[in-house]
Amino acid sequence: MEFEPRIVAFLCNWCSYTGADLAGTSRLAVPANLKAVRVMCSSRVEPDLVIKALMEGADGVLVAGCWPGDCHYQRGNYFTRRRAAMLKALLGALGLDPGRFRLAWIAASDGPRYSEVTNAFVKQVKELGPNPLRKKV
Amino acid sequence: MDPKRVIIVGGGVAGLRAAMDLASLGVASVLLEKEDTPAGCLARLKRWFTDDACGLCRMMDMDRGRSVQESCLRQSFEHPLVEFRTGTRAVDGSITGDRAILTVTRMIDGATAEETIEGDAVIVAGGFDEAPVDRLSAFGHGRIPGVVTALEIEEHLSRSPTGPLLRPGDSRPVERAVLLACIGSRDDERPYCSSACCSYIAKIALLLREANPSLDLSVLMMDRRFHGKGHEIYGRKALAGARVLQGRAAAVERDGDRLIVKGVDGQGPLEIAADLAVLSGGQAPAASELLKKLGVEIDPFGYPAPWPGLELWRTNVDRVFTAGASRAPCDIPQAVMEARAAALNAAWILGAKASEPKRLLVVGGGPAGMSSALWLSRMGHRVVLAEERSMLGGEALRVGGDPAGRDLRSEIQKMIQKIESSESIDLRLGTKVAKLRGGPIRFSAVLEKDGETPERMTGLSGVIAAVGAAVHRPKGLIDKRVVTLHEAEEIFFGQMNASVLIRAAPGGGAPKAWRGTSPQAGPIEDSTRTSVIVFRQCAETRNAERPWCNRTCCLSALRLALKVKTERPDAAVWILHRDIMAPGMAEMLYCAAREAGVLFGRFEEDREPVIEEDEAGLRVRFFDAVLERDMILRPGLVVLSSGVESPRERLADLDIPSDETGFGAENETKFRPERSIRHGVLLAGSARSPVPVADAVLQGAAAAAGASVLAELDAGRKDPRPSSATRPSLCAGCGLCVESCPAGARMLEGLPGKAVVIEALCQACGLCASVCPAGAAVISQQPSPPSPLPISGEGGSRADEPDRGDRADALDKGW
Repeated sequence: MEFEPRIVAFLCNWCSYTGADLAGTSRLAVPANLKAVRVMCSSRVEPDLVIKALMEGADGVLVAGCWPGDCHYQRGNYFTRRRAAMLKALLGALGLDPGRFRLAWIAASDGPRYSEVTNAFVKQVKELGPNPLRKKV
Repeated sequence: MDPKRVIIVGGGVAGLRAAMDLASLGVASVLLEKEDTPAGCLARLKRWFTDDACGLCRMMDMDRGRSVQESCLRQSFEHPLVEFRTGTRAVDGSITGDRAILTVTRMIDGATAEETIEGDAVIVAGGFDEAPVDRLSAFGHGRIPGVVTALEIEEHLSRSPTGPLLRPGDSRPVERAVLLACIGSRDDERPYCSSACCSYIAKIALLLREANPSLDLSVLMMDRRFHGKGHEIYGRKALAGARVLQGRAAAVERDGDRLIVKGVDGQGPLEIAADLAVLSGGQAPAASELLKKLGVEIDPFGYPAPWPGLELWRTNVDRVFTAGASRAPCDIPQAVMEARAAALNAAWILGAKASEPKRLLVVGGGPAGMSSALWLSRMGHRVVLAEERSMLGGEALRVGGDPAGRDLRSEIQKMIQKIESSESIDLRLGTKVAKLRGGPIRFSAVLEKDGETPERMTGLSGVIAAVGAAVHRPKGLIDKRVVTLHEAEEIFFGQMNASVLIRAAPGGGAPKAWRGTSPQAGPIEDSTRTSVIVFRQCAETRNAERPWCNRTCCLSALRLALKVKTERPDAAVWILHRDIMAPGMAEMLYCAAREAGVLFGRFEEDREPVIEEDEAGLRVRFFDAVLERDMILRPGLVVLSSGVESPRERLADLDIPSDETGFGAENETKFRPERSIRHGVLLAGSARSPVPVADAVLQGAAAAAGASVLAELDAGRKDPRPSSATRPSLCAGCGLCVESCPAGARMLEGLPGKAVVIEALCQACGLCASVCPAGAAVISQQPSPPSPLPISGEGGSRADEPDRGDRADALDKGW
């Protein structure tokens, strides 16, 4: 059976979650590998949460927020951007491929982009294979 | 009996804003929208000018207390106090006594169903229609591939965010593009200016450049009307590198796959080859028919006739208000402020009162500050109005008139009287606000008055900063023949006799039509007139040092020029300008001035007019950019339009941040224009950006609406919802959460400092929880303490607990 990665997607309430909704209502193909978690702001996702998801067996983590400048809380996604840069470096040190984490900007009107980003990310994680930290049952 | 409610026509930005404000003040409304989604034309736009971002949802926060939805406004809008009806069109209406009755139609199963809706007041925010099809079609729209409207190209670009710039329709690559302004505006049929398009096409220029960085871009526009806050800087940035031709288009023709744009500029006819021609179609009122049926007087173009008072949003029918582009052509911030003012006024006439009187501080007693104070007192709040001068009125006392012909002086006097006789306004003249501490809901201020001990005032819910801006005195005011615009107002409307200053030339003689007829080289000298007045616009303004348009000078100059021309038809009145900033209906004033024979000379920024004195008297020499000739004028009076100084220092005294131009920085440029970056402070009038008096009054009312909403939050009028909290034992008082909070809901208190949360303001976004290094900031779903579980029956046995394997399996399946 082909490996189907399990991906946690933290979607910001204002833009990306609406974008995901739009992808759905526009009947665009969105992979079933994603488990969406709605957060009020992408910057709500502290690095802890991403690492925790990976430690507990997620094969990839996607954080999606508003485009720079569009944040409902004005500066939230700038915090996220800085954290993501730091997190990428950190994942390597933990023995995880930084490719298992992705930060994407998806606007509320970006239904097609949501589909594009999620499909590409699933493909990428598929190539990386299962998360080595995932406990085998 | 049903509770009172307001009918709002139009679910665009103005309608939504009005509905949310009414809801925050506890007033129900029914919001009618003809489309299936909210946000009107905004839903079609990708992003907005000056901050180049989408921030529609930012319209909501801080007012979310009464359980408004939390999601993108492009999709839906919900609020328990707002009945939002989509796909509904208001077709008829009448006002009978205190009731407003509207007939609406709605498509149900392919058939039109009619229905009557009753309310107690109407806010018409019907937005705008684009230029009519036949007008656009004359420029090839719909006939020639590559001719599109500005809205269409923006929609096209937002659908294809990446990749090469292809033209809509036939997908040919675009190497050369031309933007054409004033298609269906400023012409015989619709002589007014649509106000927002110059900045709008600047944004289109940026979007096109983004899609094709090597794009060869031309812009054909009559004036560069970047008149709003921050527009001058934005417009320059957006059009840098583009060929800006000051003229207008006459036709667009097909040349194989390409286009030929024919037009005219100062130098004569011109032709531009292009792949893409973008027509900026301007705005036409969308709700004139309804307004007419409601009994509102309509001007010849379909906009409501201006209300003779200073309340721009009012109409001749007491219970009908207008806001946004169906009142007059406007941009988003203007629509937002009009909607806030209209909502506050509607709430007031319906008898809404503050649920708890709160104390608020208004700094500045000019038109904006007075308007704020009056509206807050009408809502039942107690207002402290502090004015540094010894009298109310501010700079408005020196302005003789209004571009729409209102009786400004008596209107200002009426406001002053109302304030002086108000019991709930604590008027402090000659008083300076020296310090402003704290945040929303808990401001404190120190008031200083000469010869008295400073007074400390605490427990202020909100602050309105209407500190105004001082008149700028430019260089070159050599003697009393060279004056500022404010002094000219005093000359023409005050006691001084203007004719003393206007030179009577020997000989006189009738003015000749000589413009462009003089064949000889060298400067043309205007010496045929009996007397000459020169208005020199943009004196030390719209330059690198003071990069903003003052918005008032062109209007005042036009008004004064018209007055002189009416009283002394033989006088030669010159307005030397770079662009005539007569946005919206003020364009009519420009037209009237031209018809009356006021002379206009356009100069370029790098070749400014020189005012000097020689043996024969004053001499103004300038290079006319249209005639491409040097001109010499011999005026008796020169008026320098230099606008205002930025209020940077005054704002800094109050710890209110200012933007790069020195005017108050808004929290959000489009949707929260009246809110300062500093939480709880509202900006109004020239402290935010220079404005004419009537707009200052409007902004004062809009700020009062914002402050009323803040006061409602202070009064605890909100539904329970999640809020952040601090675990004091873990808090180290580092202040990271205070810094990151977008709502100003956190502050450090006590020694050593611990973070506390003002729950009324908290948006529960979680930013504090993710920045807190100690895990002390948490989001609690239930603000109330948890209650014990109701336990009954027998407890389970250990055997019921899943073992580890099961759990892992469940995890697997669940995923």
